[in-house]
Amino acid sequence: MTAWERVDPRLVLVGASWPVGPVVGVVVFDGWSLPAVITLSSLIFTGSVVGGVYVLRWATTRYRVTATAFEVRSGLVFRRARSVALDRVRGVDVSAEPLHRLFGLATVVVSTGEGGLRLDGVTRARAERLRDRLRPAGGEVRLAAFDWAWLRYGSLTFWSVGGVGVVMGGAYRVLDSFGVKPYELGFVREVYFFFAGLPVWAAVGVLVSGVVVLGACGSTAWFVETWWDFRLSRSGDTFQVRRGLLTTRSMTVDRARVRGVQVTEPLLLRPVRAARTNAVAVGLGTAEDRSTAPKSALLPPAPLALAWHVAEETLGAPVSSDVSTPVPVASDGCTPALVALPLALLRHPRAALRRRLGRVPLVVLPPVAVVGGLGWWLSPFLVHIAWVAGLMGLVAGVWLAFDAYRSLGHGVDGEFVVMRSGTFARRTVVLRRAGVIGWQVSQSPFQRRAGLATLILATAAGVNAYRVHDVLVADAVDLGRWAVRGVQLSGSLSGSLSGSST
Amino acid sequence: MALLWALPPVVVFGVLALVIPPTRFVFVPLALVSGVVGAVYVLVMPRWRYRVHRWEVTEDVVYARSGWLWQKWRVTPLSRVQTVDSLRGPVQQAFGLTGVTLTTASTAGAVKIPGLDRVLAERLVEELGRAVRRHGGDAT
Repeated sequence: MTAWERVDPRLVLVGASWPVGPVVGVVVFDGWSLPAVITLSSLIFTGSVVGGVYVLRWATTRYRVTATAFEVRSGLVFRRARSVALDRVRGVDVSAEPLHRLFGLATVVVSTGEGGLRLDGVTRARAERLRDRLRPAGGEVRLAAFDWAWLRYGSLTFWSVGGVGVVMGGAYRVLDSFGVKPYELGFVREVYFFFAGLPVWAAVGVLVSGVVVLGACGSTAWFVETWWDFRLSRSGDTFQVRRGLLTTRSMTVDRARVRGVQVTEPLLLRPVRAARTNAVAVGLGTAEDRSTAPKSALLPPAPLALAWHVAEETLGAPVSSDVSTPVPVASDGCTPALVALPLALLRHPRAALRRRLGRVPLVVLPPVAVVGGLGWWLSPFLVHIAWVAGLMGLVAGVWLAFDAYRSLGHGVDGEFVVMRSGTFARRTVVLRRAGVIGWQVSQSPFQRRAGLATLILATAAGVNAYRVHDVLVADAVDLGRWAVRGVQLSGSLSGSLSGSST
Repeated sequence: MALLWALPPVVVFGVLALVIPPTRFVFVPLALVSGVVGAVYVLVMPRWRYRVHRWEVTEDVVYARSGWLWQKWRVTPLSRVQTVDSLRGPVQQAFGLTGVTLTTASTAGAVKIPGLDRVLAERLVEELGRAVRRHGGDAT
């Protein structure tokens, strides 16, 4: 495969076919009038310009895989020749957008630590072969595959409710841009009068349940689109995720790049004992950033035991169920068993709970004060709303604070640091000790008064910083010291933090 | 350095109060408040920081402590350091000071040692550079 090859000419069709939809739309709705002709000609003109760009791209793009590197040349005026050494390849990602799929094409993205090399418009078969060439595969082991039973987890995401608002807003804007006033539509008026005829509590109930049902449907649809035909497999030390309905994606990650895993249990998924698993790997997206979150995903929301099974497979080592041993722990051979759940971790000091409880009024009271103040000024109705909402907020806040405290935990296990925190999304991060680049203890004035500190472990993977919140200062120092192996601290140094009350 | 942050609001509010007489009832108190806050900041912050800030380089690890209200204590093994930079801002130059920054493969792993004596900083950069080269590896 050392001769230069071209991408598939169907790429031009992909590029030039987008005006087809609008053109058909204009013809169907507007017929043949002067404005329609003008719109049509401008659409066709733009389409042909874009098509021309794609013809150039097809004509000038060449790629090849040599014994040592993957090379891509492109461009007419600015000629670019880029190459990635094969041993630097950190992942190969094959994806196909709907238009690409229509024409049987795919995009190959070869990622390295610093960036990536993108090859657009090769056939699916060629893309698969390229991936195998760049990432030689051995015997493949299937670790997990899509299960329809997981569909019920799909509807249980938080932002499904917010999603309804976004969709409604979007629909309103689209209608508005067409000059349609939604409130003048007979259908919408009927709905409005229907609500106006109901008592307040019924109207609110119908609205809320409607939004929840719509949201659940929406997020289920999103879940299906994202995770359709999901497969997680391992060949040798390489893991591969394939998934997607309209846009199919495939992600490959080498175990050598894996610094740890993150198991996330969102609030709504905790009662049904489900969680999702992300890899903490160099050169892969993070679990926090929404735009890149799917990239590091190894598993959709799935049963907790499976999530941990995948986590252990990815780490290449079992995580023992009881990591509530204090630092340092003898790294004896762990028993290769599934994690017994729930994971037992070291609890954090009670002062951490007090800190969480202390934040509740800070969050709840200001809005209550604002609404209450307005009510005192305008109408007693608002005052009632304010104190009822304030009371409910306080109860919910206290519950959340206790939950957040229950989530807090850390421990060490063989070669891993385990840390857990969060209430809306409880995240358990298992970080390989060898992947920790350095550590940092930070203390706010409030933490200093409570004798607590936050330990931040730095790594080159994932979000780069993983935190152990609110532990005793001495424990933070011990854990950090243990995490970065072979670090000797002079006595003055260890003493200078613990003994400080500046 | 603290003066750079503390002075401008006082000056701005003071000038506004002088230039636009009808607004004096707003800007005079604002100038006074920012003046008091600024003075406390200028008096307290640098001393507090000076008491907190510490650094040490041992055989294979570098550590630095910084901050005042919010304090940080960073430890990074030299084997994980990727670059050693020194930086002198205009104010630091005026006082003959230099800051040293060690970066790692993690955005969270950088260690900053601000406000070192210039000669000392130069020697430190040289020594650290040598130590980092000695450790080698790709430091991820």
